[in-house]
Amino acid sequence: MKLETGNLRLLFPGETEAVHALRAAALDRAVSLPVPTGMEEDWRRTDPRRFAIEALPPAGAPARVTPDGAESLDAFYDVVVRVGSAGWSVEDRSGVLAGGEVTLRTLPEALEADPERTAGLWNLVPAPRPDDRFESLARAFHSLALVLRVKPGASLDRGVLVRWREPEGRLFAPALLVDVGADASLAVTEVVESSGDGPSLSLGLTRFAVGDGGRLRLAHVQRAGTGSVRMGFTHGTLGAGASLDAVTVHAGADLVRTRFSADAAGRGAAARVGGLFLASAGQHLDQQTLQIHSAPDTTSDLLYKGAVRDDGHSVYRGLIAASRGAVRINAYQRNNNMVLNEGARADSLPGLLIDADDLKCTHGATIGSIDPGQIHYLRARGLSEPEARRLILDGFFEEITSRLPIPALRDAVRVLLGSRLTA
Amino acid sequence: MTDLPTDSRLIDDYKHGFVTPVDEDTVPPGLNDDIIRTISRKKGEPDWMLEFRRKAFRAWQRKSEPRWAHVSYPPIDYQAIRYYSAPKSLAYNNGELDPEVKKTFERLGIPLDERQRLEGVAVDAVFDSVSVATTHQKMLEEKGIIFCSFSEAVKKVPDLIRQYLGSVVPVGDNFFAALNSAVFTDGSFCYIPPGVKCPVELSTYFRINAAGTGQFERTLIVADRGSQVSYLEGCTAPMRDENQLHAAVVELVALEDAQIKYSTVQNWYPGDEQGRGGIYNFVTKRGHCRGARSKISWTQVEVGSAITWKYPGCVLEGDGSVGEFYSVAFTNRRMQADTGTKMIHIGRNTRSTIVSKGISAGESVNTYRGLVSVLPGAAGARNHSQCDSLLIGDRCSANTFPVVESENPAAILEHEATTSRISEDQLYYLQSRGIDPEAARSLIVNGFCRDVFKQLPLEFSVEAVKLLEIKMEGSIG
Repeated sequence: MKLETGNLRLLFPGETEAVHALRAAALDRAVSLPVPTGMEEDWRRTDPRRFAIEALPPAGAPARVTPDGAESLDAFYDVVVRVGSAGWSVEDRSGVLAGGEVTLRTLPEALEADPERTAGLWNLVPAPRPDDRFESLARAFHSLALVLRVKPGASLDRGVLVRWREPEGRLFAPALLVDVGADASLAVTEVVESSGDGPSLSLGLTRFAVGDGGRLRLAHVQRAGTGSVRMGFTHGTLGAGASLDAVTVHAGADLVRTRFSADAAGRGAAARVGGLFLASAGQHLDQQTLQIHSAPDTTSDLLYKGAVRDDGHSVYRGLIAASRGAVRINAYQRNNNMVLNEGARADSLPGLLIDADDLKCTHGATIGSIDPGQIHYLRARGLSEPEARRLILDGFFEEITSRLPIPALRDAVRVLLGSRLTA
Repeated sequence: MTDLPTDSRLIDDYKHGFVTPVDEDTVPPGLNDDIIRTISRKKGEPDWMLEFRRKAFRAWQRKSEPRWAHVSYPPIDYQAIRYYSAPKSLAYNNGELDPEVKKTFERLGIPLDERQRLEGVAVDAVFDSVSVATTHQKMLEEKGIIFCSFSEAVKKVPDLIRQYLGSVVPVGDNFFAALNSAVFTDGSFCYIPPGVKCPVELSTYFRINAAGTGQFERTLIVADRGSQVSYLEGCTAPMRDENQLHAAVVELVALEDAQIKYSTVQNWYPGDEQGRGGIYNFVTKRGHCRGARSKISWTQVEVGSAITWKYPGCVLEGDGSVGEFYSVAFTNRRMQADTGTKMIHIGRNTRSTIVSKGISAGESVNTYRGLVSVLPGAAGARNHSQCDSLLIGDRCSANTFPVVESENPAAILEHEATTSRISEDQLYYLQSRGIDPEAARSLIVNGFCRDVFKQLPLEFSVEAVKLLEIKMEGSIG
């Protein structure tokens, strides 16, 4: 597949002019940006050549099918969306979609219903790091883009679950736009899986906008197969007094590179961001976070915790960016890493980029291992060494796991981590 | 670049901004193989030194200028710089010091006359490209300590130079280190024999005087087994409208159980209110803890230079070796500083401590950049880093870009950083006790820097506090 605008019509036939225009603009942008070589500061720890975009054919838009194959977790949500190679389906379990409080549309539908707002959200980029070739490619080759909108003042009791099951042997580019109206409240959980352990390449795009006084809880659980190479780009803005509570869990895939950013753009906005990751044999996890403060009186609190074992390698890169005029802000960023055995590697690059003066920004990073004193304590109480190590790690992860929105999801993540740790 | 004479229009608080009227022996501007041969010939160097320079020059030609630092400046024309400048009378008077040069160092408070010397400090003074005087030589010689200008060391102890020169910072290490290795004209060399504790503080004072030149000095300190030395470095330059380049290389080697303490007070001319002129301070400093239980400690107080680009680091190879970095970086007006440290843990049970205090005022940009790396064999390695930034005024920036990486499960690394401004509560408290706002700010800043200042040798510590006070004047935010 060549990165040419002419190919877009062949790959995605029958699309509306509006969608095609978005694809073409994104592809133009992508090809105008330099191809990373690995010499760039941003790419020194992850080989960009491993993201061979042109090697796999893009997956076309899946067809809409009737809901099928419920899993136990699904019972805890109002709406369940399942996307797989057989098609995609929506299950309106509590009737919220029928009631009109919440709408779920595809990108073409949303562009027709509300063109400006949809295109604005689609093209939203984080100001301090605007240009990313791969992010533009995610827009150009998106397989299925869903737009979730909550009316002002509305709130969902349980929320929306989106299951992405990526196909093997394809370039899969799912996109999710979340638009939370003023004073509205929503919880969205994304679970990413693969249909097998064969090679796949995924470019995920998530955009959110939370209106004044709105509240969004985002959870992203990635447990893709061992052949999965993936990139994720999440970015959104928070209005005045709005709040975000986001948790990302990475336990699968072969190679992951993600960027999460949130812009506290309205006075008094607050963001709480959590991350949990485990890199085992052969895995490489490269995560970047960006806490942007462009309005006064805003706060952000970030905690990323991870463990590396076997020959796993994790890279965490964080940045707090306070623009001029963003006064009386309080931003915190912490990254804790556990290196569980020789051969594993953890890199931490926390950063502060400050252009305002009346503020408090703090970051902390640690890399260490399981404290032998703690193991000794537990062994003295009759636990075996593996049991003791497990218990300590569970405790280490629990600080993030407990932030997940639904108890059933927390349990699912605990089980997932347990299986990865004993594998 | 035009060379404007320093005149009364450039009235400034920078009291070291005068020019000394001496005849200078220089080479034409530009950098090529002939210039390198000329420099080497003027210094009467052996062939291996010329080869060292030419190898570095070839490495430099292959490299491009690093642009990753958080600083901005117009392109530098490396062919417009004169790479050699020496006071003429030095050569003519058979080594007897030019009275003007001597007066310069006296005005700077650096006594070269041993009769009036500062008690307990031996000085090597570098004026533009050459070392003009080294005091205390006799007393040091009795202890077996070699402390002399680099040029002298090449003649006196060529074997030591050949063994250690470029062994910590190789000729092709980076763009500016390669440039320095090709054209460096002088500097200091110091060797402490096994088991000797150097009885005095050794010191180098760097002074850029001539216009259109750069300063490219080289310092090499070797502390043999079980020896100890404390080394001080200070720098100033005249006020000029042009930017001058200072690209130095400092190499420290600590063998088994040896300790080196390296302290710097850097007060190069920082440029005027509009950001015109000032020194580009692009320096490579690195220490190598080669032997077990050796220790290298860097302390720096950076208050000058238009742009600072410098990362004194330690390669901790010997088991149980220790690296330390204490830094205060103050930026004002349009100054830009991108500075920090690198700690590379190779040996077992190696330890490092980083304390960095950045203060930005005016429209300056102050960036901490650091690397702590634990290699697979460094079991039991331990690092603690603390980087604090203080903002004075709303037009300055403070950035922190640390990198922490570990490949060993038995290593513990901690990094903390904060950025804030002077708290209103602290100011209010001090003002309510009758202290005026400027003195109160100064007091708070001094407290903020205390952890670093207390690492300096006493004379420097007093000087540093005063210097920071002068630099802070008028920077109320």
